Amino acid sequence: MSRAYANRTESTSLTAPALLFVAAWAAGGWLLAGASRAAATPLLQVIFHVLAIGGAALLLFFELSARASDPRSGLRARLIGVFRQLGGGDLIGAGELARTLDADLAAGVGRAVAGLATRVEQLQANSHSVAGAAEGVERGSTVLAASSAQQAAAAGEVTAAMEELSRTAAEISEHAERQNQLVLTAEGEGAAGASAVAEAVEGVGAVERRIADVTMRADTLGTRSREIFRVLELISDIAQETHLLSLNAALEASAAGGRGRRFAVVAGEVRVLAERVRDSVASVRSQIEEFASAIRSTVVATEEGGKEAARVLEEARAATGALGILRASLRESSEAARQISSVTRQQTSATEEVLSTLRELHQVVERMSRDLSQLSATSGRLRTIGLDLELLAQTFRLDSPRSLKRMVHEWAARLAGTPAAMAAGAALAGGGAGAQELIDELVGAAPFVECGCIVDPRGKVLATQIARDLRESNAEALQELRRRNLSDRVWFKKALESTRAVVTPPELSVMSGQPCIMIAVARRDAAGQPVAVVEFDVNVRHWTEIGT
Amino acid sequence: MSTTPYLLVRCGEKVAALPAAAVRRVVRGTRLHPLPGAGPGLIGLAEFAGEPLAVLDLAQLLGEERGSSRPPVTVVTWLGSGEERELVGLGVDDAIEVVELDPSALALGTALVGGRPVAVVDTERLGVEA
Repeated sequence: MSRAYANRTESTSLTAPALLFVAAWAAGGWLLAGASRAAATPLLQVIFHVLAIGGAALLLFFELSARASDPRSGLRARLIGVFRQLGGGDLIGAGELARTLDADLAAGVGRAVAGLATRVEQLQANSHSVAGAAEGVERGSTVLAASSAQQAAAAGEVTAAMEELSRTAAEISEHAERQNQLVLTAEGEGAAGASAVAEAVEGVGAVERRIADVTMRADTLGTRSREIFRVLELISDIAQETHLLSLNAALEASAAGGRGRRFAVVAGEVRVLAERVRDSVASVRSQIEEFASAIRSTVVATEEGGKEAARVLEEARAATGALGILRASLRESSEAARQISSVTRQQTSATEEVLSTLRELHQVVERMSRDLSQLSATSGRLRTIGLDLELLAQTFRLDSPRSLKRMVHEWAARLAGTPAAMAAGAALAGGGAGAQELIDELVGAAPFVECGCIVDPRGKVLATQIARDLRESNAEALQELRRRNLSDRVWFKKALESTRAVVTPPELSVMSGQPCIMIAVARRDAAGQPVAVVEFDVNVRHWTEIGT
Repeated sequence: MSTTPYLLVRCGEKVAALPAAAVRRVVRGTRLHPLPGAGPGLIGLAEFAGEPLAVLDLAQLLGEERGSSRPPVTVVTWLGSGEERELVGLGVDDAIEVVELDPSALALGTALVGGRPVAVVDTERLGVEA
């Protein structure tokens, strides 16, 4: 007894530094993880936790190995048991077994196991956070990538529209410039026209003055013609009188007989002369009348010409005014065209700047879209890492609501004693439950469970159920599953071989088409013989809901 | 062959010959005063040498139609013969000239002057008939 105590004391004294070191390591890791929680991302926290758990497990392994290899100690078998439980990741089993050790050893191992369980639990929690955050980032970045792709397309369209606008503005500027040139040319021609019209006005004024002069001269000629007519009348009267005088002289001469014959000859000569005068006067009168008629026609034509000249002058003056207005309008039009051209050039310059900015924006948005796509892919990888970490954490059985192994152990423990009893659903003394009742409750209570089975040791399905949202589309598959033998399943074989719960890597579910991990554990009788295997498929898309 | 001087006058389209011996004077522009109720041959009264002078329209005496215009020339002549003769005015359009005509060449009161027929007026008988 004393020897044993001495050995135990020696053993205790020998392992105390190691236990202290384990505790210090765990505390340091816990502090480091706590510090990192405040300063770093969940992923870094997870890494710190993994390092802390790994180090603590390694030291505990060495310590327990040293204890177990001590032939003087009676604790060998129990330490090996603790070691095996730890090696299997069953921290609950290791803790329970550790409590059977000596008090000091039980306390140290218990603290180490509890610290390890705390790390694993934190690892699970952080992996949940990482995966949840990654999922959110992935979802957000996917949406953002799609949005930024749309933005890039929209920016491309806006850029194209702005390029079109720029081209249009350049064309407008060019047209305005051309219009300005045309207006300037027209203004020049208008100036020449105004000058020509002014010259015409001056010429028409001169013509009008000449016409007035001609009219005045024609009036003078008319007056002179009338005077000539009066003179001709006088000459005609004189000639007539002379004619009558010559006739009277001839009559007197004829009355004088032979003595008047010579006088009669003279009277005859005078009469002939008077006749010639009368004829000449008639001729002159005729010519003067023609002349007067021509003068009257000239006067009339001149007056018409004067009126026409006045009208032309008036129209020319009106044309001068119209040309002035036209030239003013042309100058305004030219100014407007110059302003349009100037403003359009400024607009083109501004548009070019906007275009340059839009091109840069387009490139930035495209780059952002690519970066977001990469971020989405990275988030997916991060989510996968989170899932890997979760799977790693789920290899431990912890006293935690997130521990699937703990959960499957609890459900298996609730089963009735024998496969027949399980299949019959009969409640036995000791609190056992029927298989179908249990599996229905399990699938109904755990939203992350896609499918659950209870199988007898030969692989026959005692009970099975699938998630509510999959039942309608998988009714035939469920019936088929109930008829099948599952002895060839990996999880079944592993569960029969192990006293602990087993976890298999993800596989695609035939029901949902999504990846699932299988958790299974064998229900054993008092002799350790398996009586049933409880299994359920956890949809990894929903595993973040575990324990919530 | 003896000839007799005649005064040729124009009345409208006609040319008449008045014996130069009966013609006292040829005047123009005589102021005429129309007589109320006078016949178509009497144009009016004029004043000659301080005496009133009846002016007849020779054209109407020769059977020619005249318009409303008055003859511009008045030939003051004796109509009738001897104690019966009377000084009157004959209104004509023009007095042309004094020509010598052979009385034997007169046929039915018409003579040819320059190949043109001329009515020869017998002032002695015209005055008696008037």
